[in-house]
Amino acid sequence: MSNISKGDILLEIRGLTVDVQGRRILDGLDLTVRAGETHAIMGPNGAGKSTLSQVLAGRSDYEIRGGSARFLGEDLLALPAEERARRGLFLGFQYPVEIPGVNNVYLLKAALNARRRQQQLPEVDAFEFLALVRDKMKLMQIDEALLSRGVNEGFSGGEKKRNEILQMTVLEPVLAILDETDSGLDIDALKVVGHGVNSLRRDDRAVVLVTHYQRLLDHIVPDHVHVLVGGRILRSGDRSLALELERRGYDWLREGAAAA
Amino acid sequence: MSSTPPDLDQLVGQKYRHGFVTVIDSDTVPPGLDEDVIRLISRKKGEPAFLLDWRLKAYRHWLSMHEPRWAHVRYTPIDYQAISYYSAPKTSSDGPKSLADVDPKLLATYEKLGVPLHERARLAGVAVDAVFDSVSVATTFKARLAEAGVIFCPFSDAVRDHPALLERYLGSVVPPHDNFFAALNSAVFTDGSFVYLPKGVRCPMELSTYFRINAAKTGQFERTLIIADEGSHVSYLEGCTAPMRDENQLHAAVVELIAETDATIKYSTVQNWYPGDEHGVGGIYNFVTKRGECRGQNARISWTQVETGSAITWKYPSCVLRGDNSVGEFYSVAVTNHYQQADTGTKMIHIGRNTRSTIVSKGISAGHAQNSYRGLVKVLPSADGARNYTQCDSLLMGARCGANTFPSVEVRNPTATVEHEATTSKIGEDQLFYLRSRGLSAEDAVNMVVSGFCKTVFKELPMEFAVEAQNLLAVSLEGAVG
Amino acid sequence: MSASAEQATPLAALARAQDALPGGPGWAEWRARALERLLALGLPTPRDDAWKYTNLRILGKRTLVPALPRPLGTVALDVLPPVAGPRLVFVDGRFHPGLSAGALPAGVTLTPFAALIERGQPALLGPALTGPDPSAIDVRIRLLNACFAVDGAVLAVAPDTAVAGPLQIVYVATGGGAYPRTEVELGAGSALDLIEYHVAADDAEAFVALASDLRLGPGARLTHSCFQLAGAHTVLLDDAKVTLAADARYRHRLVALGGQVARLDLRVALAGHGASAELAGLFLADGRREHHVRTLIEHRAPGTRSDQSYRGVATDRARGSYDGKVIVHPGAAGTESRQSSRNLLLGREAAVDTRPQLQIETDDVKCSHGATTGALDEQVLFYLLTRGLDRDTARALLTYAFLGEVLGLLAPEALRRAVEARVLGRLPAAALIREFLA
Repeated sequence: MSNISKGDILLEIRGLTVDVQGRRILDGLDLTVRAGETHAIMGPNGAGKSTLSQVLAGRSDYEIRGGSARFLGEDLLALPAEERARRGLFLGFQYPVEIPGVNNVYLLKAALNARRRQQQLPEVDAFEFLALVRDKMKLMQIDEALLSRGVNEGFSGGEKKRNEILQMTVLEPVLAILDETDSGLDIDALKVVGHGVNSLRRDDRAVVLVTHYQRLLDHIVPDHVHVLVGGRILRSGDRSLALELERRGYDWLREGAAAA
Repeated sequence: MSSTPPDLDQLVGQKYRHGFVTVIDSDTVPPGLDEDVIRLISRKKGEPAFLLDWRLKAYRHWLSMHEPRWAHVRYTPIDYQAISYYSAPKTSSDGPKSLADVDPKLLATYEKLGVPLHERARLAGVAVDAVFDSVSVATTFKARLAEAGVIFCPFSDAVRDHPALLERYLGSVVPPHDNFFAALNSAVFTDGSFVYLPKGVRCPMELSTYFRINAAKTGQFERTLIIADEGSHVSYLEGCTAPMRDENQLHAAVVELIAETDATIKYSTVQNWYPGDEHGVGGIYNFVTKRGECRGQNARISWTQVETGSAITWKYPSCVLRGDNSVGEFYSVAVTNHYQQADTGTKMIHIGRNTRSTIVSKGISAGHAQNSYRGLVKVLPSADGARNYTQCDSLLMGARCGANTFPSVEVRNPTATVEHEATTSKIGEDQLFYLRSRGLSAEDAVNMVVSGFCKTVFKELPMEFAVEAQNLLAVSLEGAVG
Repeated sequence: MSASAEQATPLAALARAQDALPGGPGWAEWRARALERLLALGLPTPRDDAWKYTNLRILGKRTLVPALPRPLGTVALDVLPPVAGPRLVFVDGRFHPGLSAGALPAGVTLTPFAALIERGQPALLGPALTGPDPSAIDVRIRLLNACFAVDGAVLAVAPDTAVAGPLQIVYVATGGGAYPRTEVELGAGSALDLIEYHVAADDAEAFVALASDLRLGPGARLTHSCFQLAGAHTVLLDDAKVTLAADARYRHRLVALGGQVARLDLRVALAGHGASAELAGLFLADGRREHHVRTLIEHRAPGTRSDQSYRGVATDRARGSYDGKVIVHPGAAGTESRQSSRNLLLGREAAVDTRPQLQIETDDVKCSHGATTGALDEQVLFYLLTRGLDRDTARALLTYAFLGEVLGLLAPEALRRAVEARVLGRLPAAALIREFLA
């Protein structure tokens, strides 16, 4: 179905430098994500994790001061947010917005068809679509009643996060960036979310988990772990780095960086 | 202003017939207002010609104006010819001779407020001014202020020592023709405060008019002008922190604030003029015009007021947000009990880009009192990205009081965001019951609930004022819940 | 007050115009008194609080002289939604039997206002003609109507009659002054669904001043919907006064889409214990249109409830306003009142004014109001973009969703669907967002 093979570069960030209201948030960040990989980006509060997610998804009120980001070989930063989505980049929001009056399921259908048009695939009809969504809802253990509500309208924190993952599993993005998806989830919801994300993992896709805590990584085991401090990746490693961070916190890295 | 009403000459003539001229050199002028009285005030103060002209223009304009009639404020008409517009500080013989002569109800109030004994005497007007002379109090700080380059002096001193600043700034925020009471004030103001902060100066202490106004026992038509030059910072407190026995009914002050680029002015008021008695007899008509202008970028003006006194309060401390990114704030608690009426609120005029304003108003109404919030948030087409948030809450205690909320929101720019929220409700019976079931008296329970209701405003007050404000609240609401 | 130079109708002409109206000397005197009082009050100026936000310049340019009966040109009644039920059509304020259709349901009686004029003494509308109005709302629209109304519908619903299906009144304006007059009396325990439409051709330079009086007996229920589709050059002033007896329930729905300057003045008196009013509405002002909503709700009895929910959208150079006042009178203990006005400003030169006012004279109340004005939420817009929607669709969708809460209240379904289609038609990318309505 896709012409992406394991190991192809999906996302390549070089020297990304970003200001927010005159303050430097990302400061020369490098990151390469290949097909088939799962990355975890960890870091203390204020390190720039959410900024990175939002910039990659195309939020316009950030000032990009330098560097580049290429997605599937294209200049990602030159694309408007909706084009990035249609090309298969998905952002799972840390704080999914509530949109009363915009029906949940129709947003999902519109989003899926926008993506399919981009892929030059026929749009799904309502029947097909509902079957697909019902299936995924079961996977995410979302109450069908939520389908007919406004987007995230009156959802609990956990329901919102599960709804994000539901959208992701329906849209089947090439690259999913999940911003603090674990925050506000109890242990059962965490399992469900982990299950949802794992179901998406394939050789022609990649997942980037942005998280403060390592507990999500018990459920979604990453291939690569990066530590984001002061707007750049200070250290990269495998799963064991996350466990070390869990044990030692982030301060030792900062000290190390200052000494270097 | 240019056209004088036809009956002006007649009016002036009448005064002359009453032999007004003969008393011109005396220290107390009989009731009445005409150009001669204004000339007298100006001469007494040794004012330069421009200021006399300014006063006279204001007066002539005032004659052409009509006293406003507000839908929700009721009072017997003021006879402007029955007011004395100039009187030198009263000699000690006018006041009570000792605390024994002072109304015991007044003394009881002081005690509740925690005013020290010697203070009580001073506030009650007992002749102890040798000790509490405002001038001597001020001088202890004068050295420190002078060192920092801050000018803080009575308005009359500023007229003498800083005429250039005055000529440049006076009336530039509240022009004399602004409204009926501002025009009257411009014509007849007798004293007030003047503050100037030079560029980049952070005022080393809180400035306060607490002593001066009380000691001078004036304050009918005072005028305050505060200028914060680029990058300066000042916090100014205005306290009428004890009920004032004042035979004069009308208090029509004007306060003007000017904040230049990067400057901050914080202006706090605790107003407790004499509210009249429980039957609505007596009390001050507090008709005040307060306005600040953020002239430069990132300027900030913050008004905080706790209004518990006066028979009628009519004031809208406002902000003109001209500079880009400038900020205006208004935090207000207005308490009315018995037959008090308060009509207060603010205007936030957004002109510059990314200007922000916050309005928090808490009104508490008890007895037969009326309490109104009246506000305007105006976003002009130039104010891209402007934001306002307004929260107005009213608490009612008793079936015969009233609470009104009259906000206007006018938005002329599609990038602005303006939010207004308001609630009005009875004081929470269940909260009161809960507190009483924990052993609090009914009165303490009310105070606690009301304090909680006002908390967001109180926390904006300087520490020592916050305590006083809390105490005032308790005094004002005495007997509100029985 | 003197007539300004650009006043299209000299005041003397108004007096002359009255001479041509039907009715005996009683009516002539009654109308003369109304005009006298109107002239004493003077035509509105921007300094009048009640007219602060209304474009008086356009008002001043309209002729107020009532339109004479004339052959009806092409009036597109096919813009009306396919709602079943009887329909009364008034053209320029006069009943038009040819366009009207359907038999009145049992329990409903209709007396043409024209018949009242023919046969008797003026008895209606009295209080507006004497003394200052106690509710402190501007009475000038009402007086203007009193000066010139020659026809209208006087409806009565018998006690305990639940009228099945809606009763529709269509006001058509073809140009000149139109002064329809509507009276509805609901007997105790009765129920009625009343829908009003305002229609005018785009080229009709019309001035419409409608005055309605609605009285709900104890326990009566009235749903009163107003679908305003007036033409681009119509000035429409709609003044409705509603009085509720104990436990009566009134619902008003406003959909304002047309007109050049269109304004609703709605006063509701909750006079009986337990009465309640639910007001909701939307306006969608584009071009240089003006839509104004003014409400006054008076809680005069204990245990009364009111709820207001208005949504306004102003694009291009349009203007809109919401000016609502809730008065809780002494003795109206246990009052609950909620007011919400939310507005979207979507044009560089568009403007919205809001004044949600509370005047409360007793302590046992729970009242709140909220008002917001602003652009579409950028964060929400971004969310939709990240889901692949393009900007125009996302904006249109959010604008539509913004109105959704009020749209959802419209009934019957045929009316709701017609309004939804109309609203959609005003938005860009209508076809794309239509999918969201399925």
